[in-house]
Formats: sequence, structure tokens, C-alpha cells
Amino acid sequence: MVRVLGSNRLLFIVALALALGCIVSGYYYWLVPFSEKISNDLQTTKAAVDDKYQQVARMKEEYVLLQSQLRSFKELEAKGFFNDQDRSPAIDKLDKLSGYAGLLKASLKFGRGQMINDPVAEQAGQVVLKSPVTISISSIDDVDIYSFIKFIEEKFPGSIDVTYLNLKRTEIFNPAILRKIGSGDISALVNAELQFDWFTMASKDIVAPAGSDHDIANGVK
Amino acid sequence: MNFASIPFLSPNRVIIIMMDDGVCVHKLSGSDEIFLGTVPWRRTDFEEALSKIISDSGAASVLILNDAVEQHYRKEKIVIPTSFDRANIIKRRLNVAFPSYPMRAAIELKGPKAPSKVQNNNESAGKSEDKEEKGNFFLFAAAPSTETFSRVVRCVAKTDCNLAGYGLLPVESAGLLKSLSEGLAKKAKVSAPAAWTILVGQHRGGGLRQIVVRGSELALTRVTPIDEPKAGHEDVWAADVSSELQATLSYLSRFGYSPDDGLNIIVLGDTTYAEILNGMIAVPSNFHAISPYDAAKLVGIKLSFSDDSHFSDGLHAAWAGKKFSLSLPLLSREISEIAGPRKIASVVMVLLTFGIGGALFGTSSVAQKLFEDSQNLDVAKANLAEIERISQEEIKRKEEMGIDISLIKSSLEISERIEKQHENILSLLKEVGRNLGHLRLDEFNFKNEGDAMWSSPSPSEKPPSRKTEYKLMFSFAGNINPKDGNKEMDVLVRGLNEKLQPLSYQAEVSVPLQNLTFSGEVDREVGVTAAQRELSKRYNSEVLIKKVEDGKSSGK
Repeated sequence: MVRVLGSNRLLFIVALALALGCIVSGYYYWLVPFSEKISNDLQTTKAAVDDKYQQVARMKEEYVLLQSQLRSFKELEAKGFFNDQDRSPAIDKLDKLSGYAGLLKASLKFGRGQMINDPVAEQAGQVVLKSPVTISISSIDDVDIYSFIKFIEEKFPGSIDVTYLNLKRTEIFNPAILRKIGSGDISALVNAELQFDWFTMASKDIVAPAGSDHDIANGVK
Repeated sequence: MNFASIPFLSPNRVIIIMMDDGVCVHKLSGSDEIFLGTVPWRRTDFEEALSKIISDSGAASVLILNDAVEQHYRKEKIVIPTSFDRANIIKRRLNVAFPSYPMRAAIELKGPKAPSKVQNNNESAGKSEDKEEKGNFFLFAAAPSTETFSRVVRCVAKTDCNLAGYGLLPVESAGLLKSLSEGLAKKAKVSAPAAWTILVGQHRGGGLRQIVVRGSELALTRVTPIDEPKAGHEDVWAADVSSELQATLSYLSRFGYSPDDGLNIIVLGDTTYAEILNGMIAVPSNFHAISPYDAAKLVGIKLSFSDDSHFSDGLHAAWAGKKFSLSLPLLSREISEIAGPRKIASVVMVLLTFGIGGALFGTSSVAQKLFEDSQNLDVAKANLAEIERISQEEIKRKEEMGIDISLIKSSLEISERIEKQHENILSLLKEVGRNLGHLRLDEFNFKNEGDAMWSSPSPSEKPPSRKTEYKLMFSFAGNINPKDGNKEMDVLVRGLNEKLQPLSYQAEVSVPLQNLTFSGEVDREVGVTAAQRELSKRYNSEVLIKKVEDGKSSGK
């Protein structure tokens, strides 16, 4: 074979084959993987740029939006929406409000509160607290009860959702009742039972730190 | 490394003309012919010398042309029934025609009036074939497998050159005659070119080669030894050539030549000697005496100045060497042993080169993409750094404001959701109070079922409906006409609906004082002695106000 083809020709063929092998192996084992790596890096970086760009755009948009929302937030904050529903100040507050309304008596009953794990609140590291409150009221006039409800809605911290109200006139205001009152025997003419849900928001780290056994209810629909 | 051995990189070719005395070697590079030398057979180091000339030439391939006396031609008419049988029939007929010559080949003659027989040297011409007979004319050619040929092939085998082929000089140069005659006719402005052409030229080694063609097909060829011309004895050479030419002309009539067909006589050689011939030719013809150098220019070949101005073998070598493939290639075992593997090697080299080209193209494409991606990556990284900086500035600005954006957004949204479910009792009672008139409300009951806290994918979504009811309870003195009382309740409800229906509330008398319709049960005393119903036996009535779905949301 060498005699027929000649050593130069054979060497040249071998050199060509080696060159081809080198190029092909370099192509498959170095160039293509490296190109894919660079391409992936490029895609990842582009995606990161897009994400960051959207994040910045969102932040700028939020900044503009915040200018208008900040006032509402401050009002919400001032109203005590961020509250851990400590019963003691709540009782004090209701006591004051019943006094403002001129109620004869108000029996307060706070039910067991629960934490509602709302996704929106979760984003801010917060939970929604909900407590059922029942108040039995005795009053001379139904107007006092209406005033009391108004005071609760306006002055009680957080949001109030009245779920039940029963108002009943027990006595009819007449001269006999007037005389009875005049003699110092103040008896109620109107009885009422008010039930409402008390909603506030509180930091999750404070009311339900990690590892605690507080009940957290899923979002309620 | 001799890159000239790669045929597709270099068009250089060496042409070896085998003559009776030795070989004459020429090189064709592009259209330039260069005479490399002659090597006589009798030289003891013939193979080494010839191999050295070939190797030193830097040529890629070698073409061998047989210009010796012993060449055999025969014109045959073959009837070929189908094209599938063509090769076998020709092969069989060749075997019959030249049984003792292993190197043989055939070429079909295309001309309508082909010469009946091609004669070499003194072979007699045959008679014309019957034109009515079916079949095609073929020119059969053969050359003996001699030791001299084997020596030439061995020389080629010692080099890296490819063996391009082995052909017979007269057959391969037949086209040269046509081109020359056309070129000379055009130069002489002859309107009707002659059908017959005789080319006469002396080759190195002394042989006078005469080739006769009709059109472009070989009709007759002769080679005869004559002396080379000598200065001062010009007429001696002309007389020798003239006598040989007369002998050739005497054969022509046997090949169907007629003076009416026209005859070109082209004498290649030093014009000093060739011009003298013009006066020695008696037959009517277009005589042209032209130097090989000028003849080569006429057909687009450039002979080297080093070549002698008299010998015409360089022109034949260049003409045959220019061809992509020979007109009538002769095959033999010696040629196949060398040319076959080398052709395969050439194909392998071509494939490998294309492979390298393809691989380089693919590699360059990927490399270009890699380069672009790298540049884009740099730009993207710069962009990322810039956007990161802007992001940090934005975060810092908000931190300086001392607010928690997420807290603001989430608290406002949750508060808004609760507010949407809020029922404003006092607002509704205010409307009720305006419509009561002199009626007195004994009892009021409100129920709002369902949870105020609801999940919402968007703050604008409509909250789930809740069952909201207001119940107003009244009492009437027992001595009134219940019909009047019912009427009063209807008036109240009508008044309430006027105000509340736009607010998506619906009021109705759920419990009348007394059901006075057919479905009601009524118990009452009537008559003169009937006792009047006591004041303390009161009538009770209820009005139910319900929140309805299809309306505007409840007013706050």
C-alpha cells in the first residue's frame, strides 16, 4: 500500500484525518459545550435583567401609588388596625364607649380569637386576627344603643363586622315609669344583644412566632 | 510534503510521450507548456532519471501518450440492440479484433460519413461500409503491453503523482487538427473550411508524425523516421517530408477523400524549412506552414520559449494534457494497480478536505455565535449591574421614607375587603325611622350571615354574597280594626321599598296583624252583645327587609 500510494500521500491522508478528528473533537467536546454554557449564561442574565427591570418598574409604580395610599394607611394605622387584640385595652375602650353612649349596662364577652392566614397578609409578614364579641346591653333609650354601635364602628380599634343585633323594648315609657325613674329606680326600657367580628392585623412574628401552637386558619371565603 | 500530489489543489500535470527511442517529458501548468527533457530507453538509469524528472516537476498527475510506431486501429461497425448490451458487445468485439493486445479501447465515431478504415503506417485501407446497413461505427485501438510501458509505469509508481491515464497521441490530437484548421481558416478568412486536414510535424527523436482527420475524427495516422533539419540544407528536410506526404496523400482516396471535400495541409515546424514544402505539393490544398509556438497560441496554449521552435510534440502533449479526460483511454493491469488506489486516495483526500471544510464551517458558525453571545453576555452583565444599582437606589429611597410597602398594600387591601362586606345598620335604620310615622317599633332584629373576611385574587372582584335580614316587629292595640293595621303596614312597606330598593333591599310584611285573605284563620265575635276585644290583647306584625342580589350594593 505504501509502495503504491507513496508515503507522502499516506502521511497527508493521515494528517487530514487527524486534522478533521481534532476539529470535530474540539467542536463537540469544547466548542459546543462552551457555547451552550455561554448561551445559557446569557439567557439567565437576560432573564435576571428582565426580572430586575420589572421589579424596579414595580417599585417605581408602587412609589407613585404609595403617595396616594399613604394617607389611607396612616388613617388605618391611627384607627388601630394593627392590633394584637389584647383584651384588656379592648374592654377599657368598650367601657369608655358605653359611657359615652349612656348605656345602663353592657356585658362584654370576647370569644376565642383566631388567626387567618391570608396570602396577601402573608406577603407583609402579617396575619389577620378575628375575634367574636358579644355585648348584652341595657339602656333607657334605643338611641343610646345606636350611638354605642356608631361609637364602636368609629372608635374601636380595627374593623368591625356586625353579624347580629337584637333590640327589644321591654317597657313603655309612661308616667309610671317616669315616676319610677324620678324615685331613683332606674330600670332599663330597652335591652339589646350585639354580636360582631373584630378584625385586626398583627405581625406574624409577634402573635405566631415560628414553632408556636397557635391556630392559623386558612383564608376564609 | 509535496502538495502538488494533491490533484484538486494543483492543476499541474506531466505528459510523458512514449516514442520508439525513448520518452519525451513535458509539463503543463494551467495553459503553459514546459519541455522537461527526453530520456532514451537505452539509458541504464532510465527509471531513476524519469522518476526524478517527474518528482522535480512538482506536477500532480502524469499522463502517458503513446507515440510509438506500434499502434493498431480498426474501424468496426457494431449493431447494438440495447444500451444495456453496449459495453459487453464492444468488449467482446474488441477481444475478437485485438486478441493479443491487452491494452485496447473503442470510441464511437459520430460523423455521418466516417472513413471506412484507419490505417497505421502501411496498413491498407478497407472498403467503405454499406451505408444502408444498420449499426454504429466504432474506432478500435490497441497498443502492446511492452516492457517499455511497464518501465514508465514503474517510474510513475515511484513518485507521488496520480496516473491520469494512458492514451494514443494521434487519437487524442484529432481535436487539435480541427481547432487548428478552424483557426487558420478564420485567420485566412476562408468561408468554406476543408473537410480533410493533414497535420505534419516532427517529434523529438526524429519521427515524422502525420495525422489525417475528417472533421474531428481520426482517419489515418503515420509515423516515419526522417532526419532532423539542418541549417543550409533546408530543401533536404522538405524533400523528405514531401515524399512522406505524397505517400499519405496516395492513401487518402481509399478513405473516401475527394478533392471537392477540400484539404488542409498544416505543417508544424520551423517555417524556414516548412515554407519550402509549399512548392512541392501538387494536390490542390490549403497549405499552412506554422511554427509549433504559433500553432499553440492559436489553440490557447503557451509553449515555453525553451522548447525548440521546430518540434511539435510539445503541442500534442499540451493539447492532450489540457483535457479533463482522454478521448480514448487505454486500460491495463499496470495502470489499474497504480491509478486505482491513488484515485481512491484522492477521493479520500477530497472527502477529508470537504469534511475539514464542513467541520471548519460548522466550527466557525458556532464560534461566531459564541463570540456574539460572549459580547451580548458582557452587555447583559453591564445592564444587570446598572439595573441592580437602580434597584438598590429605589430600595434605599423607600427605606429612607420609613415605610413598609408590603404592609401598606396588604393592610389596605384586607381592610378594603372587610369594608366591602360591611353592613351599615344605622344607615338603614335611619331610613326605617323616617318612614315609621306614628308607628312604634317594639323589637328589631338583624342578622348578617357569612364571613366578612374573604379571599380575593384581585381587590376589584365582587365579594361573596351574605344573607342579610332586618326584622321590624310592631304591636297594635287589640281594639283596632286589623284591616286598618294591615293597611298601615302596607303603607310602611311601600314607603320603605321606595327608598330601599335602589339600595338592593326588599321589604315585605312577613306577619300581618291578621290574615284577612282566604288562607287566614280569623276568630272574632260580632253582634249587639258581642264583647269588644280588649285593648291588652295586642295585634303583632312583622316587616322583613332582605338584601337582594341583583341591585346596587348596600349603601354605607
